[in-house]
Amino acid sequence: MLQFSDATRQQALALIEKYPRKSAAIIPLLHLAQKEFGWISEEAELAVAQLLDVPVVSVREVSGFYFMFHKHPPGRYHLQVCHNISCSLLGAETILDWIREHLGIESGQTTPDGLFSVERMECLACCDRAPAMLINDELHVHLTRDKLAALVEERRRQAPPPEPHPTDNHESMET
Amino acid sequence: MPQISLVSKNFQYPDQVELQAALSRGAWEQWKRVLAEKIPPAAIIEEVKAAKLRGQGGAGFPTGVKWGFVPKDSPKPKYLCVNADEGEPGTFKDRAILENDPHLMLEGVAITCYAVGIHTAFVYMRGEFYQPQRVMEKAIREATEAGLLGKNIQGSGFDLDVIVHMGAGAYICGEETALLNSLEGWKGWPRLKPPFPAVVGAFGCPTVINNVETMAGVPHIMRLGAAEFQKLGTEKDGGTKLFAISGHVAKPGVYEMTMGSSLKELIYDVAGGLPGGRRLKAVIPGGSSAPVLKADEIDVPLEFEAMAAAGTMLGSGAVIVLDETVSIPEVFMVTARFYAHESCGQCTQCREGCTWIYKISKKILAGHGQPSDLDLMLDLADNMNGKTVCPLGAAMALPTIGFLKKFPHEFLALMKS
Amino acid sequence: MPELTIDGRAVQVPDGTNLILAARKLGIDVPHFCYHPGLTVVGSCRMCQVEIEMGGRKRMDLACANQAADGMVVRVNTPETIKARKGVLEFLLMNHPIDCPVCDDAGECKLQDYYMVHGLYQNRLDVPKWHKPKVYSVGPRVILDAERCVLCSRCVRFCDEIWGDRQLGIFGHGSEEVLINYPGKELDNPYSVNVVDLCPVGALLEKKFRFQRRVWYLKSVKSICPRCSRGCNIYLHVDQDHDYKQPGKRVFRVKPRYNPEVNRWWISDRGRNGFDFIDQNRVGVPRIQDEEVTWEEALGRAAELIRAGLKTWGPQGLGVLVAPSASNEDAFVARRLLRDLLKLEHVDFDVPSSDQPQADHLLLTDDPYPNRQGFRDLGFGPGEGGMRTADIVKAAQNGKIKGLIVAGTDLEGVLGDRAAGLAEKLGWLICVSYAGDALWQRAAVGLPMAVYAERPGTFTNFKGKVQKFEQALTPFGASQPQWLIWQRLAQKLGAKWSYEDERAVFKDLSQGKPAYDTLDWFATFGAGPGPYNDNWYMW
Ligand SMILES: Cc1cc2nc3c(=O)[nH]c(=O)nc-3n(C[C@H](O)[C@H](O)[C@H](O)COP(=O)(O)O)c2cc1C
Ligand code: SF4
Ligand code: FES
Repeated sequence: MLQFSDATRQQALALIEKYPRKSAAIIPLLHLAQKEFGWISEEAELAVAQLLDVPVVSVREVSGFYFMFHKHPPGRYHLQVCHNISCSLLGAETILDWIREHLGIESGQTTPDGLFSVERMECLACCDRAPAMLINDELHVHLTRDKLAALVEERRRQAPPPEPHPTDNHESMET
Repeated sequence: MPQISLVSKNFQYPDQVELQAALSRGAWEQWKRVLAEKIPPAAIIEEVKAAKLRGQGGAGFPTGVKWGFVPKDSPKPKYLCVNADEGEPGTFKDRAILENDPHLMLEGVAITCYAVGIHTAFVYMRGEFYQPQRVMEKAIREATEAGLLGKNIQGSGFDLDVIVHMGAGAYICGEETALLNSLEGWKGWPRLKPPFPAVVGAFGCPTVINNVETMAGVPHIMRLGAAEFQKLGTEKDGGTKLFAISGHVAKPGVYEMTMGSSLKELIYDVAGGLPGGRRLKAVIPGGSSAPVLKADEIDVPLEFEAMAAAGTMLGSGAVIVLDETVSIPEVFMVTARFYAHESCGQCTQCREGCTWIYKISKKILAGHGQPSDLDLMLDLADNMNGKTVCPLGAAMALPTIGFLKKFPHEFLALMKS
Repeated sequence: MPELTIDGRAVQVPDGTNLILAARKLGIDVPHFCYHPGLTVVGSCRMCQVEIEMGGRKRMDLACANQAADGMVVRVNTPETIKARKGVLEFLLMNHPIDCPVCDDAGECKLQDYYMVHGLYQNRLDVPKWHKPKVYSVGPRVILDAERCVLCSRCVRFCDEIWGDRQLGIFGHGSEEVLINYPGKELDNPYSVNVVDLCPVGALLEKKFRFQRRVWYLKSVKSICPRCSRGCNIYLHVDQDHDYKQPGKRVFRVKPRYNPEVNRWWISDRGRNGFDFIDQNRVGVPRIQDEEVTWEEALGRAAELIRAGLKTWGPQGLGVLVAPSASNEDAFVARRLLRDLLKLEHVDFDVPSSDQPQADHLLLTDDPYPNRQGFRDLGFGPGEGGMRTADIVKAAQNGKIKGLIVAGTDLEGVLGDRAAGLAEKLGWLICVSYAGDALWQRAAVGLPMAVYAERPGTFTNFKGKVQKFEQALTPFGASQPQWLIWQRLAQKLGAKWSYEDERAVFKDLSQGKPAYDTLDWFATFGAGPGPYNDNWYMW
């Protein structure tokens, strides 16, 4: 069975303490699990259920309900492009087009080298700086095709050599 | 001039997120005064009632009245949940507060908790708010270290813990009872009411739920006094309101206005009108759930009742401006796609209806629509409207009715070809 | 006790009664999917909308989530409520496969029923339907078709609230939600098939009943579950008129029957699976050694053996074992014959069973027999100095007991090696049995017995509650009810008494016993009058 690293485990135990009921820590622990393993596998669900003493069915109901929990490993850089009203008025679809043309992926897909994945997002609450997207946890705004090209290029350069499957190597996933 | 700086006063200072800088501009003074003068909690509630502060999360419920519903003699703990889920398309005013003036909101939280007798506050923040999370967590840390939060605050014997709780991507968790279920660790399925959260809320205990901006208004009420605060707005809506304007305007952004300024003023005078000399086609005035207004309908006061009288709503104060180049059926499809994606799946009509309408809207855009599809969608909207656990069903139905009734020709035009 | 008006008729109901139950009291059905009286109210299907007028204000709201109040005026069917429900139904059918001809639930399906009232419209859907798992095994006894599911969450709540382990979940978000089990974790609780009863449509079905019969051919008979001492109230669903698929099969399924004092709406999977013996390995012709004979001949021989045995070995040389799966009527007549008339001492009912239930917090007890308490109450058992079962078996093996009468139990099957050669060591063995088991094969006289489903009778559960079951089937072959076998044997041995039927026996045995007073032989048992229709699928 999947094990959290000691550091994450400590963090998890501290989180549980904050709430009047253990179940309240399901979402925070799933966030921790995703941070550590990159996505929410069945093993991760079981590990969370065990730590919190809640039915694993409930954990999966939660992980399946919230869109931020990945059911498959995403790319190292997860491009989350807002396609809601204000962003699409100002060109969100051209951003998604660029990604399809240059990275060859559509929402829900990952590049073969595992570097980039893309997901269509609902409103990110920064319509005044549309079009907007998140790359992992960084917000990027006023996007244009050129700006996106630069962002992607920069990340390609920064990326370390390809690593094994994320679930095999917990250490290197920690940031 | 309808524009005003109250809640947004310190947004301009990048260092306002630091406790020391914020203190130098008067942050936390009201909180210290409340504790130092031992102002009775009931008096604060009365003050907020008299100030006519209304909920800024969309529904506009009088805030002081809501606090008054919390049972005073309950042996259970009580909780405050600050609604920082901001997911309504077009809305970004809470982000502005969270990122620019976290101490203002925290001071409001502290005063609210003191007034209602609460010792634990959760700030439920949408999962994608990475930057607001960092800012808020740091602000809480600094305020706690400075003895403004935490145990025995300023020697008053009053304790208050503020916990940031991150969501994980689900618009419905902005609905207050879905938020409670989500906070408790479950799926964000709204609850049947009654019981109301003020009586049975988080973890089965009495709970106050308020929007970020509502919290940010509280210190100003304490500073200005109820009468002054109320006078900034109208008789029923006291104070100011942050409007988030986006889409086809020259200066999109967050603007603070006195309650009752007009939508037209906001678009043309404050946000600089439409860029490129283009003409206005329509405005979505209160977040994507608000029925659309046509270009000639925008001379309405920005105020709960007046907007309702105009057949739409003030909602979260999110204004999306659409110029003449916009295809209404496309905007409608994007709207329907959003609700189909976000319906929590609990109620039959909303779960199936949002998807059905979305599928029809796509079909029409693909050129396969029939005129009868418009009647079908209106009938589906009627079958959803007001018949579900939470208002999300209606939030799909009302814009559907708005778009189809106001711009039928744009849909029909796609069918002829 | 608020008094309200529903569809123009006044009704008084207890405080806290919701509008579905209040209407039910007047015989008015408010359509609903997610509400069930045994589960928490979630109000998610939105089917039960009615018009509620209170203090001069009208609104449309849920009947399940609103409680009756004094002066409330409720209208179940108005043009608005009918349109609202029609809308819900159309949304539910939107992604439904509409495969009624091959669905076992056809005839018991709320979608079908409500469609007759609210539907009958032109199909307006011309966009593609969702695809979800079909013919999917969610557990050892239950199969799922997720495309038929209306997401009412009744099954989820049953596992969670009644059994106490969330074995099913609704996974995903919005219209992509699927009801299913967790991968690798099955719906295997000992009450799992209740979710099939709860499922208002054909999404969850019982594997055992799959494609066995169209439900409208089934006759539903009130009965009591014989599989443990709780005595859960059940319906036996039988069909003797159609001979397709499995010739000779008469009982097709067991369904729970509401009884607030015993089992509420539920039964165990053990009870539900316990009817195969009725149609398997039955014996229907009396035997002497291995020769088939008439009842007269068989009973005559049995009487002869008993009389001779008493003469040569005395009452001490005879033993009797009767399994407490027999009814009170059987036990009462047996006692009159064995104890009162023949004065036998070694008479017992404490026989072992190879089919031990596992007791739990819900219904199952650890007693495999339905009527042990009845046997006790009726004074069936050893006389002074009489032996209990274990000692009787031992005595039979070491030759102290020479003549043994066994009724309703396969001792060899139970005792295994310990019973080996039992029949051979005896002078004779008389066997009253429904099955052609090992003892039957070796009996000097074999008397074939009807099972509980083939005659009426009563059981007394472990709490002393006396409950009646009705006759669902005609007795197999020439088999006869156990009490009648004892009575005819008694007459051969000189008894003067005689009962006409089970009812006459019951009347006699309940003479002056308060525990039996509550039971009226002719009443339909179960809930009695009240808001709960005891027809299981009406919920
Ligand atoms: C579908 C839906 C989404 C909502 N989203 C939000 C939200 O993101 N933020 C918010 O403050 N209120 C939201 N609300 C309103 C809340 O339910 C609630 O009215 C509000 O948080 C109360 O706070 P207030 O009185 O201070 O406005 C939403 C309501 C609905 C029905
Ligand atoms: S109206 Fe929609 S979002 Fe709201 S509870 Fe019902 S299904 Fe969920
Ligand atoms: S909503 Fe009332 S029965 Fe389902």
